[in-house]
Amino acid sequence: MQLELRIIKDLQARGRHFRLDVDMRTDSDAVVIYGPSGAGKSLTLQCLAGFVAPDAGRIAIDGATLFEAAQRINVPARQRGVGYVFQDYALFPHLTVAGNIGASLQQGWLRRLDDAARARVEDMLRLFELQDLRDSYPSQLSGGQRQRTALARALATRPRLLLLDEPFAALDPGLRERMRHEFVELRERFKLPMVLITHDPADLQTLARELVVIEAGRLVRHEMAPFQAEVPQGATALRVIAGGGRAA
Amino acid sequence: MIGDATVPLLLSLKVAGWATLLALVAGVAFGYLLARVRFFGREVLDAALTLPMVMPPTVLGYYLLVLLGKRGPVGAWLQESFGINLIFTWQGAVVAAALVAFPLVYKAARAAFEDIDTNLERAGRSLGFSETKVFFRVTLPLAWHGILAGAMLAFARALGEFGATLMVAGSLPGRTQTLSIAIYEAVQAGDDAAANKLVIIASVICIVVLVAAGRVLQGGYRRAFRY
Repeated sequence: MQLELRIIKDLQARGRHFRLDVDMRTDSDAVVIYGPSGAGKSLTLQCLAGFVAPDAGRIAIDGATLFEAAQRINVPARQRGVGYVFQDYALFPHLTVAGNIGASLQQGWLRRLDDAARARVEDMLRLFELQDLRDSYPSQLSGGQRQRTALARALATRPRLLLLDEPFAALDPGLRERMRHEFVELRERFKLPMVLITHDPADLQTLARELVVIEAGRLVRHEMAPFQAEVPQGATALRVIAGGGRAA
Repeated sequence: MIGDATVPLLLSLKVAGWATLLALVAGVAFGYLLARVRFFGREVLDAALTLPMVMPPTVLGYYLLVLLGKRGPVGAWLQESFGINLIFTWQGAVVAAALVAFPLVYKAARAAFEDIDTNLERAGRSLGFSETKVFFRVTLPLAWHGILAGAMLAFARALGEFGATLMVAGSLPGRTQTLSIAIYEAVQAGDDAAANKLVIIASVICIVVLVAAGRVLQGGYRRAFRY
């Protein structure tokens, strides 16, 4: 996948001003955007998904323009073919696991699922080992089950790109490690390009082939794996990553 | 044993039912607009929409008379275009009760919409939902408990409406004499037996509606499904 991302976005809240100004191109299928909280990672992802319109710049996937300020192009989120897994998963609380996964496949006012859609839901339930939980509501699920449901829901639409916002942050540390490995397997299986944001250096080790570091709204580093140990600019966390440890 | 209370009771239920329906549609529309769209004068509009809750019903009734009367701008238009006259009719009583009950639905709807995690709507969009589908499949179902509780309060309020209804629709027995107006007439006429009966009926209905509204709110996703 080829991703072009040029975003300028100014935010003003209670007298405080924040500017996101990033410019990057990548051919990698496993990009991790890393940085401290408040650096603009989520905003970058939201611009890519189409939830937020940048003030200026251009966003394109494989040459297809999703946003271009100069030509007033802004493809709505629903037409971008981009899957999104939210930090708190944002599962529909009023729908069951099967209902959440099938929500995007329903046709018309009667909310019918045709045979192909029903088979797709079954595939997803099996793949993510959610068969026994099909009639459970999100409130009845554990953290890991919620995450699997969110992934299954996003993948049911066959997106061309999957975006993940701190996908492991809401999990227990033990479960986190296991889900990371499950996730890598899954990625190989679906051959699905993904952009993941995190502030946890442990995520980089397992998941990143290409690393983008954002600090205070600016792109400060962009490199391919294996990541360098020595970092010229004061990104202490990167030294920790390269050393294989976890940030304090 | 209800006997002659049946007529005003049924009329009240009919008027309150239609009034609640009107207030529901308008309340949901304005509640959604003010919860989601930022525009100049939003909070002034909010105050204006809440006004019927705090204004004396007689003042509202007077405004309605001026507006809907034969020479009023809306009244004259209705008369000329459709041959409709609302003054001294049960439909006029519906308009009066709907206006008084509207803020209860509107306030509940706005709060319910504002309470929804916007990421849930974004999730819908990323799954390919149209804006219409986002509203009917995500937003409205999640806000529904709050809206329904507001609608039930509005129903109870519409059922008890007195001042504005009396000014607009008068007190024609069998036609515009609702339960609360019938109580007033019974007391004025010194008919304590009839008044007692009507008062007890009105009280019981209001208590039932309030308890039901409380249950609806408690059963909402707010409590059961938050995680």
